[in-house]
Amino acid sequence: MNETSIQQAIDKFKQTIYSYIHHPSLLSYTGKPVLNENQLFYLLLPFFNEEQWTEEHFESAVTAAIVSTALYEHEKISEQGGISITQQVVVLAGDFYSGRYYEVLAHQGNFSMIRALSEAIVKRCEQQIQVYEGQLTTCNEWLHAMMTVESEHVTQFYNNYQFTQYREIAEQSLLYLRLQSELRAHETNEASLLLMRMLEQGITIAALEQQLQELGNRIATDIASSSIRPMLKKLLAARIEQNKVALTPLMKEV
Amino acid sequence: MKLALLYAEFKSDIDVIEKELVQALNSSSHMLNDASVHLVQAGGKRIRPVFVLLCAKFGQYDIERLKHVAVPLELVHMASLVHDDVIDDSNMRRGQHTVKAQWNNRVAMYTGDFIFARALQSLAHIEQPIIHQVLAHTMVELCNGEVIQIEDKFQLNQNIKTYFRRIKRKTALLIESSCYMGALAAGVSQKDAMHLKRFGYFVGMSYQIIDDILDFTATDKELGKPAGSDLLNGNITLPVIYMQNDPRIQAYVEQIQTGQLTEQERQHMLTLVRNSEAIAKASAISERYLQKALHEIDQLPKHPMRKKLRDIARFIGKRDF
Repeated sequence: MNETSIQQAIDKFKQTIYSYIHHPSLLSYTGKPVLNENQLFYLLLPFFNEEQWTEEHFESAVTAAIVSTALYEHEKISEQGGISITQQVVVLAGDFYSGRYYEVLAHQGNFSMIRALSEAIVKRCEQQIQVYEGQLTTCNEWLHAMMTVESEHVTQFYNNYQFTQYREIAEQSLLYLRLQSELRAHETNEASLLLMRMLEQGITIAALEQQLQELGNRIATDIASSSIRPMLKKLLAARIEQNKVALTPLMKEV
Repeated sequence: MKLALLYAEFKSDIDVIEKELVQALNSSSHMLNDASVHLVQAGGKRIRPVFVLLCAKFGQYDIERLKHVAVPLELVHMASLVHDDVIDDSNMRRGQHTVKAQWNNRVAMYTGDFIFARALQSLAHIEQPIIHQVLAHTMVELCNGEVIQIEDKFQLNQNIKTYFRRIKRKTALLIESSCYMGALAAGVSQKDAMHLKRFGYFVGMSYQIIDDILDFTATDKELGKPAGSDLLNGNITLPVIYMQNDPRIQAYVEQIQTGQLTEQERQHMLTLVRNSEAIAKASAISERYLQKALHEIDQLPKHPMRKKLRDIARFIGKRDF
């Protein structure tokens, strides 16, 4: 599979996701939901590496992506006070997407995936609430929270289908890409609440840049030593090289 | 009759459900634990779990299995209320601070999502696709109902059909699903399960109409929030639809919309609605749904639970807050 066909597969994946969560009323208020292309790439990684990939794998990957989209919608809600009509609809959009992923899996009778994605949501919500609780203190704890938010749905999808050999690369890479986006966004005062809280807790930008560097080196080593096909290795490495990737869509404070 | 008396027979099983609710909401996050305990302790009538148990009595009743149907339904209801409070900017519910008021909107969003996920984890103990399909459809329709509610806000000249469509999705479907899922989980025959499903739908419609009436007729204290909250949030309910041509109600709606309604005017508005024919008309519609619900019970085979279903349906139809 070459770079063009990978992009075509991602585009088809996106279209399927959009078709599953299409809702004319929601669309008129909130516009098309944000899909994180990096996450989509890692959800399809086993397919790109020519693992056995059935319709069930594809549909389950779609539902995992919908879960992430649903939770991102809720991150758009402002912290305090009454919310605008558009934001009221955003609350419902997130709930609607959650209902849809569940509906798809319920129609397939795919209980293991229902369990896996529920677990992903539980872990992600717990981590996000801990951001408010001040329970996170060390840099590693904060980065773990960021990694969970970015990749838990991907991890659970891999676990459910025994694609665990991709787990570490996906988790580390998605953390890398998010952290890189956050640091860039910080330069223009557009970082997410997560980064702002980290900084408030005394984690410095310099320390995060150091972590980013180390993470990049670790990922490069992991990719090199993995059994992934050579062409895909190049693409994975290119994805995390600084200045070569587009920023992941960060959910800014509204 | 008091609700506690109606529930007496199920007391030990309701205790099982209460315990399971607490267990299902257990979390590694202190804040989530606090928020969840706060929600469970706030109580509520637990009518959804009770309908699951009642309807399951027509089949093979096993509380260890049924708790994985009853608890998710209550959790879905609870989660939707947590998100509703963000939408409506509500600070009080059942006399207690809402999650959004106690913490903030974002924590309320995560709490609701967490509870939804816990609901599905619990229901996943039941590997019967139809049961999951029913709940999934209900969750999607619940959102559709809420979207319609937002679109219809302050639309005073909406018709009754629009209102019925909205409350069907907003309330009746979840009660219908409680009855249907309870029956399906207990292996009740398809024919009887359909009667129980329709019973749930009619009771749900009656319940929501009564709720909408009580929002005007009950006191702030009884409601645990300001009376008239529905209209204050722009939600046009049945009593107001019956008064839509009254210029005084039109004026109040305009004032609410522009944020100019004083406390004294709120009291006058409540008096106006309470003294109108709209309350009796809305009550009559609720009663009509209640009769339809009772008719469905008559179609069920003879069983001691038929009386129980009737009693609970009547309680819902006659409750005063």
